[in-house]
Amino acid sequence: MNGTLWLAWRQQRTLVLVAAGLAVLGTVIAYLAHRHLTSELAADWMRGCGWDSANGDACPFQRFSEFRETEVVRLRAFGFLIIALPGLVGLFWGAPLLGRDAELGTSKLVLTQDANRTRWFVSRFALAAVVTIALTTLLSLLWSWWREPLNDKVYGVQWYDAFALNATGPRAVAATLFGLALGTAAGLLLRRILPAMIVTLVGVCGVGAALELGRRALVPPRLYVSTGSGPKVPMGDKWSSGNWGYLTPSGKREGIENCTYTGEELRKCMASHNYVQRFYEANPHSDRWLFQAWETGIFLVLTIALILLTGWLLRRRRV
Amino acid sequence: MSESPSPTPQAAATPQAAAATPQAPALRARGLGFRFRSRAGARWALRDCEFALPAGRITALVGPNGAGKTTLFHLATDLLRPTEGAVEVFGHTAGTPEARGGVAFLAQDKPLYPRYTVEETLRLVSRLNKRWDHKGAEDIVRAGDIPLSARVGTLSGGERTRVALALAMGRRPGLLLLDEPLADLDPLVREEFMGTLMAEVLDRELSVVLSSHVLPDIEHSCDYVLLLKDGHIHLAGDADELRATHTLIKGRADHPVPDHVVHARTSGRQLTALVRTGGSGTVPGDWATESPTLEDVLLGHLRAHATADASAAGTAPSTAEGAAA
Repeated sequence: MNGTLWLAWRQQRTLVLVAAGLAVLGTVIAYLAHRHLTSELAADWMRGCGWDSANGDACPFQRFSEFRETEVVRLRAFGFLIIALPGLVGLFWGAPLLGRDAELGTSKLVLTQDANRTRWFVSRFALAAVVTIALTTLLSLLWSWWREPLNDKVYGVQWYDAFALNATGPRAVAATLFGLALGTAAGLLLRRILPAMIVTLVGVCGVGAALELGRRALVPPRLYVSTGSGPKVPMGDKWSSGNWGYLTPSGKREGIENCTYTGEELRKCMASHNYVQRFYEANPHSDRWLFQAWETGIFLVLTIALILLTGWLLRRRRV
Repeated sequence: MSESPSPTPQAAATPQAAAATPQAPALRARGLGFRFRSRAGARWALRDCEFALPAGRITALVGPNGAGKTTLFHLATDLLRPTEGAVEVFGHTAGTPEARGGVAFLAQDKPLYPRYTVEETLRLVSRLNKRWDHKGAEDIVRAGDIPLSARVGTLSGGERTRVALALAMGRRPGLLLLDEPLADLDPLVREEFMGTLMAEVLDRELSVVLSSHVLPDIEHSCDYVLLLKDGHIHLAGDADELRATHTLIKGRADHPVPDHVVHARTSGRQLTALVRTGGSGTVPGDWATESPTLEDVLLGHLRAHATADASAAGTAPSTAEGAAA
């Protein structure tokens, strides 16, 4: 084995084994939970529950709330682990990756051997990146597979659920890579593991929170309009913005509170306010890929910037 | 990358001879400068350094704390990049694969992984190098009665220094840089370390640069001197030549002070001064003269005031060039 890669393995083997353990544990948990979930969904008592249950009495309430509390909570807990991965990887893998050598002074030992520092950095970072990418990919695929039976259930976890948006697809993987790159750069820059961990935690939470609050500014909800008091385009699996109401002939939007009626009364009310159309705003299911593309792109750009910063710091100084 | 000992001792003994031109100085600085940037502002740690240390010598790098000794080592090993000028190892710019392969560095704090065993530490360094003499490295460790299975974190300061020396020597370097290797060792271990080092130097064609502020330690082991002060080279030259070109004088303090005084000190009515004589050894006037030790010369130059330093610094490069040629 190449010398720098051997050193990378020797120093990261505990973390690699922990990652492998998590992968095995995650697979077993997801498999068992998915099996239990599908058998519950196929059970006789479940038939009366869901979107299209014509008669609420057909659904045994006690049993059903138990099911919701256990199955959905389990799924979210697993999703939470995936959402926490960027932070965990950044703190416990990224920050010590170069920070430990800087803190111990051993960078002076390893950097003055024949193997040059670019190879030293590439080997280390590549091993960490490959393992964390593999782990995140596996866990998020497992989670998506587990969520699938609950996807179109009114009580389930929809595609626009914060867990589903954050814990699935390339976005989840890019977020973990970002956590690793941030921890690595912070460790090298601050040369102490603990402050680097704090910076990493703040950075990962900050970017995560910014995306959570700002993602609909990146992919704005679309406008759905229906003429007069005629039937609306069904909401279906769209992600409603919660903004809906009436349009005047000039296209001005007014809130729903002015006419809270149905049928003939609604028609009269609309006429009295001179409303010609009804509208609502929502993101269709197909927007999921736009959210994924934007957020993956943002994380990758940040990751590349941090890797370039790390490379620049390594070239410039940092004994 | 191989862990096996080098095939022939001869081949391992002169690694740098084939890699570099024989005349190339072991370490050379050309207009070398390094500026630190910190919150307090920029500060030159080294400036306008110009010297050439001949190969095959043991050079003492002397200077007060903060003079730039460690910075110089870090520049030679590519841990830092010069702000201006260049450093060369056997004619190769620091940081190039040729320069890396030729130089081994023992940092002052002897950085090692505390949770690795000695054996693992040796294996680690062997993996990072093309040339590696495992037996040679193990021999140095064994000579100190250090078990190979011991964790580095459990070793004493002297044992850690020995392991670090073994790591450096295992690379069969042409140039060995030692940053204050004796600083945290007790006198017995210090003597033992110098003994091991001298034996290694005699066995191989090895150039050594050793920084130290313990002047008596270098008196008998070093044959070349580089004196750094405030980031500048103040003196560079052959140890014997420096002894020969300086004279210690003693006399009455009210005598007119002769020319070329490096440093003078009066106690009561007695004046003691180190004078640069240029080889003649004679000082005009009514003085008792005495040949200085290397320590006397270095102390005189270390104590010299900035005004006196200017003349010393002016002559330093020519001394260095002359000795290197």
